[in-house]
Amino acid sequence: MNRIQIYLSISIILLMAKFSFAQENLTLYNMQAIQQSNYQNPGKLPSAKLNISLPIIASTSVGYLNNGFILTDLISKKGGKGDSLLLTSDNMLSKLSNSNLLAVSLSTEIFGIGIRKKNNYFSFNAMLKSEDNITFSKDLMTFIFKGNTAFFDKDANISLKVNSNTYTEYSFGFTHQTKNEKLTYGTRLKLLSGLFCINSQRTNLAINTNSKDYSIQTTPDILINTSLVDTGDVSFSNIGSNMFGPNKGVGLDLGVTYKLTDKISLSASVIDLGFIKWKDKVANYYSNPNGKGFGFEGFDPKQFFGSTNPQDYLNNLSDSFRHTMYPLKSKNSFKTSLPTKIFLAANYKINGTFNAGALLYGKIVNQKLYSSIALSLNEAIGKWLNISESYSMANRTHNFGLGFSINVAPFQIYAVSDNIFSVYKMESTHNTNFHMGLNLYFGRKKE
Amino acid sequence: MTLKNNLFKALAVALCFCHMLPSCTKEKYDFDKLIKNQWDPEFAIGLVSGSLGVNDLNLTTSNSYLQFAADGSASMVFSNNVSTFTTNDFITSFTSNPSVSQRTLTTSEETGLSNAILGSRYVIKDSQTFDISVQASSKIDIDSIILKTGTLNIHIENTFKDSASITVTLPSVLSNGIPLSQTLSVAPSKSADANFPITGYLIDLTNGGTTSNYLKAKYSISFTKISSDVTGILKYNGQVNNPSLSILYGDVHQQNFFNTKTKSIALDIFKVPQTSGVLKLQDATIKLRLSSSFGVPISFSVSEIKGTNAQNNSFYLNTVGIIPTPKFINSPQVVGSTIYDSLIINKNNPPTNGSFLNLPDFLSKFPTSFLPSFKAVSNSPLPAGKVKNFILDSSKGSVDAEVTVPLSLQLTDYVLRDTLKYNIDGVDNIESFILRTSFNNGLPVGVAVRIYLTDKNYKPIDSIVGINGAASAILLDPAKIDSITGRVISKSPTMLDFTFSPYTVANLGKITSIIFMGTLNSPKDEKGKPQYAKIFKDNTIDVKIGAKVKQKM
Repeated sequence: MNRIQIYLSISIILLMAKFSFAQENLTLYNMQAIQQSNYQNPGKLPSAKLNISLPIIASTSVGYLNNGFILTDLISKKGGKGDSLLLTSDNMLSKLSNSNLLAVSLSTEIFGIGIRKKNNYFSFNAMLKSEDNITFSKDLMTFIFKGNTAFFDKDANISLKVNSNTYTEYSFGFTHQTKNEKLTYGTRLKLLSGLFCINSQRTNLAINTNSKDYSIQTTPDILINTSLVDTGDVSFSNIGSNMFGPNKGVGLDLGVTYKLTDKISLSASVIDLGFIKWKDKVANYYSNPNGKGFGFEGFDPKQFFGSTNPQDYLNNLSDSFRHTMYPLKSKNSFKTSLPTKIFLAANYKINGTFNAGALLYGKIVNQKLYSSIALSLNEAIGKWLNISESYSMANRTHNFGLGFSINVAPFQIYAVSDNIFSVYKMESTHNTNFHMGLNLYFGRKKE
Repeated sequence: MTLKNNLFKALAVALCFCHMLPSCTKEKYDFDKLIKNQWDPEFAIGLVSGSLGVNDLNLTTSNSYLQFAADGSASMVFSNNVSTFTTNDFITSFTSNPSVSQRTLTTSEETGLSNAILGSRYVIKDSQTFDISVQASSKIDIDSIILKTGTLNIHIENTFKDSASITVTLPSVLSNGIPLSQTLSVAPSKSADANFPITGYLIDLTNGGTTSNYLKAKYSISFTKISSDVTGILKYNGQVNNPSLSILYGDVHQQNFFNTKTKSIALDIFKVPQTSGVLKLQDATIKLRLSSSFGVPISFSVSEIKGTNAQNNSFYLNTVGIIPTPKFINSPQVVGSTIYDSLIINKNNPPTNGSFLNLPDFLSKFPTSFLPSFKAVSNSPLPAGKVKNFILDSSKGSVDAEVTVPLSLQLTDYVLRDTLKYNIDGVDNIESFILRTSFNNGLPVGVAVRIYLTDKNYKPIDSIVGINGAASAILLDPAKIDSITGRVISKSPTMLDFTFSPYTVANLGKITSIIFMGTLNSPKDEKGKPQYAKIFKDNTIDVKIGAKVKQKM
């Protein structure tokens, strides 16, 4: 494939872009010069002999994803440009699918070191990570904006799942390149320590309203596991004591890169295969397994006309509601899976300066696979500057990403984002991420 | 090649910017400019769901209750004590007028005393008596009495110059068969008292069957001579102090016996405000329950029953026509027992006589209370022979009235009206309001209801009406009944939606009163004549009310 074809292909794809999903930084994947790209594929061999990551400044990333509705779906300007704002709830509801995700991820590197010895790379990293998401049903938003009359004689499936996982990760990585330099593979073994968790397995409330007499039947189905929430132990002052705490887990990263030809290489990786077992200060909230839900048809007039004490009736009604609707509590340990990510990429070396990449990315969140695709152009300008432009299709939006690293040994400053214009248009952004930092590297040769 | 390369690069970059450019402008959203009240969800919820029957209405009060016959038919019973009469109301006090007697010496007694040696005793040989009276406040000839409290005081005054020793005996006050007796020593020119504790003793006041109300005392005198002077008088004074009755035997005579002060009976069933129409009650009765533990036969008659309705109109039952009039109540045969009897007034007893009504007509005027008056005469008619009455301190007579109103009603356009005060906040942003109602009427009474919503000045804001618009009422058809047994065969369903007008919705906060006007009709027979609708324990009306509200948030 010649360069003309490549440029045309990229342009056509840009015009036809649609669908997908992203929270992970996809532009970073093909920025080989930044050693943090090894975190996305341990099957990539960093070029420096020694990489050092200093606390926090080495790597801080934040990601945001919203595949439900954005602000501009809900609010519009009257007449297109007027000052008054209109609430366009119908438009917002039309943008929702049955299950919608709002996710934020944060991570920062506490410390890291990587040593390259010939064709082997050994690394150790300590990270602080937080993955938080809310999954809500379309029925929930419809219920809020339209009321229960939008669900006559059928179940309104009200669901709001909150998941939040904060943990420290201590990883030991190994990467090896074969002698012929065609194949590079690597792995990273992670030891995890959970700091804080809210894990919503099920948070469903079915509400059925009868169109004939407006009676309501509600059936809850709740299972929420928490750790360090119920006891109010969530605070920064507790982080230190829980960085090697009792909530332990393991994780595994696997990656491989294969040079198909001199110009074409393929790579694949699976990141964050693993789990954390939460057993410290746990609390489980679950709906009564013997409960049949709470039904309300109206107050019984007998209790007011004939009763000497209607308060007893009201108290019994309240108790029945609480017995059915209020979750029960236990203290059982539970496991949460890490959000596993899959990267499948192909790279074409255009010349000594340019290479183009195509990446297919998938992430498993709440047992569902969310995927996106990114195309990138990566340039190495001398030893001191690497630039990457990307175009990603994520969550029905097209995002333009940009990344750069300025390498003035032993310092490397970098910043990468899959959606650089989101800063100016957060109200209409479905997803964005930023990853930046300052590395120390020694003995790096030009790729 | 370089130029070509650069051209293609430029083309690629340009295409990129074509996508980017629209993204470069930053929109501004001032949320203060968000037009209010666009968020208007609509919620529906059931408000009322259940069944109501007469048994579910808390009709029991201190003087009324619901009663069910063996077949389940319902009646309202109103009862209350009308009058209570005790011994203290009849005998308010006892008196014992002091009876004074005096004794001077006869000529022979003077001679005998003057001839007696100083220091010796001289006995007056013949016995003397004097009478002590006991009278009750009511005119009663007391033959005998047992007192609960009281002492018999005998005061003797001696004006002789010799000391006297007086022995007083009460022949009709026996203790183990022996008359009570006391001896007093009275110094010359002095006086002395003898107190006889006579409580608990049966005291004969007839003096051997010759009189009543009198207690006879006998006395004997002996002097101890210490002076030659034989002149003087002995004065005797006897009375019963602080007497109170335990039991009395005698003749009460013929007199007004019972307490004429009576209490009224409230009939709450008629207290619901009604404006017009006809309500007929079937087989209502008034039962006057009489009881007496007085040992006195009584002739009892109802002199008046006055009814008063909610409009403060008065009307009278034909009490003269009550059979029997008078009602004779016997005396209990055993002292301490009670006689029970009753007098029943029903639709046939008494009949109407001019402006004095029979019971159905009396009740058709919807009396909210009635006040009876009656007359009770003792020993009427007079028994043959000697009258033997007895009265204990615990004797009691009472009259209780019990009005039984079977809920068997004939209603013809009977209009009830009631006002419910209403005040609710937080309804300013309601956009629409619908009430969905469902009634399954298992009562044998049809109702046409109009509901008016008014402000604090009772100015109408809106009305809730039937399906035919403002002129019609909400109709609840009566349940279908078996023409023979009167039992409900099937319930009558009615389903209606009431949509409040935008004006009403906007003024919900101003509504302070809800006026209900219901026109009740009992089912009609084939000829269109209203039937008596009997209400049974298992008659219920099923009610479901739900509300659908759209509110601007």
